[in-house]
Amino acid sequence: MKKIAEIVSYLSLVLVIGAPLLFYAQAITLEKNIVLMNIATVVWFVSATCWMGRKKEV
Amino acid sequence: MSDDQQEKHGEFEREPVPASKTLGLKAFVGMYAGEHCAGTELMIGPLFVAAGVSAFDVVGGLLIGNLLAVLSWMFLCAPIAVRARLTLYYQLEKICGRNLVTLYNLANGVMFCFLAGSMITVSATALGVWFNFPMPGLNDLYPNSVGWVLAVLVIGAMISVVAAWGYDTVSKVANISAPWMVLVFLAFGIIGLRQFVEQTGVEVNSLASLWELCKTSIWKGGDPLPGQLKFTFWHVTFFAWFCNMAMHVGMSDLTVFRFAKKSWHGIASASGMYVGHFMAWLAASILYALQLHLDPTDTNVLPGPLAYRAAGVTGLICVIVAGWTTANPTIYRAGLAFQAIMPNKSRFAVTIGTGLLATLAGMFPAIAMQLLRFVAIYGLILMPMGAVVFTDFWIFPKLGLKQYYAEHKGLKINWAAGIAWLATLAICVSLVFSGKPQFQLYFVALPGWFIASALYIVVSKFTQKEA
Repeated sequence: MKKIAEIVSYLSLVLVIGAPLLFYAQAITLEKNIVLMNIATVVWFVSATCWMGRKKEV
Repeated sequence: MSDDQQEKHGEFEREPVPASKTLGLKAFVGMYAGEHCAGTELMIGPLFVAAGVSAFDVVGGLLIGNLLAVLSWMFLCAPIAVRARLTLYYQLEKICGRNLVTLYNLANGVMFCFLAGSMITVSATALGVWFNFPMPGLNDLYPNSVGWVLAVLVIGAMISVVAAWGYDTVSKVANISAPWMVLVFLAFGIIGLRQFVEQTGVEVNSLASLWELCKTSIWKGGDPLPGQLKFTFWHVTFFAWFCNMAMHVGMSDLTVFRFAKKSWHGIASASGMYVGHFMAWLAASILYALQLHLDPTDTNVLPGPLAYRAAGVTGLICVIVAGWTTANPTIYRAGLAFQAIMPNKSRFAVTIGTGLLATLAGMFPAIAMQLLRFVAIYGLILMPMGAVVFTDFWIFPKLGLKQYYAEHKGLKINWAAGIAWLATLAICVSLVFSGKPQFQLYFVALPGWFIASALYIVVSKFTQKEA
């Protein structure tokens, strides 16, 4: 389960930066870019909570 | 005391970090990248544009200035940190004596409060998008609407309470947010660039044409906006170098790098500099330059609306999280600094009081809108103590002077360090007020470091001879 959450969260990060790149390449509109970034943000925070940030590094 | 007990009671605050507790490079890379991608980056980038920077000045200045900052961490701060393995506060106490460290804590705490206040200001601009109340302009000094005061009060109160309860939860949110936030900052830049291409009709199909767009439309140079100081290549370079002066030259990060296995791990600071202080500043400045391009009369530097126009709700969340996650530890640290002065008060009460002070500061937009100046003052005030630590550690043994003199003599105040600190500040302030361009606020810390070192040596020669 943790592994799946990890994979999903990495994919959401790809979408966070992928959407603006698609917008830059004029493949999508700004509105679609915003919707995709919003979805990716929700997915990131939900999935990353399952496996990340348990311990402070320094 | 066992390692576990030490950790529980403050992470080796009064003894060297043992070798078993040292950390590798990776731990510091992540920490610096996250810590230097903060809410204030969304103010600094736009303020560069308001200061009339040109493309060469901002890109070249940031490349060189950030390199100098990384080298300062690597060759000034980290080598002492891994040899002494002590916190700055404990090392200063050994050098300067308890009373002088108390004064240093007070200065540090006040500076942290103002810095946290500007982070609260940044977060409050995101609420302005949702609730549509009037927000402060670039040259505003005082709060300009009830909505603004309430927004800062709500965010500041929430941050203060969380900081007072212990910021473990926020620390977790900060860790989770860091990679996402870095990418959202990058997204701001990409989206802004595309919008610039659309607005100007310029075709960008090579690095040369991209550079041309940067020169002619984004960072055009010329006169700064009214009320702002003109920034040249040297201003940008020195600002990038000295904006974290308290941490590297000022030695605050001895506390961080005492955990490093090797002194070259100071290179980890490059992740923070080139992600936060290069990419994020440029991305935020692109958004502001676009706003000016669309409406030259709209000079307001408001991260909330800037981020919302580029990335919608994601942008707003980024602004709130970036401000919140960095304001929280800043208030916590300020609280610790104040608590060292008032050890009888509970940490909860001191942190709440500190948070309220930061909230009050956040209501006044003057601090955030003049963030470039404030950051330069912050570094300047704490820098001389870094020079004292450096001189005491490396130069004193070569001159036959006694290191850690206050500890050696049981002094409450080492006047040599005190005079070096306060006289350096007095000299630097008078240099700034002389009005000579080479002694502007952004540059004066460089001669100031040498003045502080020289004063500390000369006065120590006298005080140690008398003893």
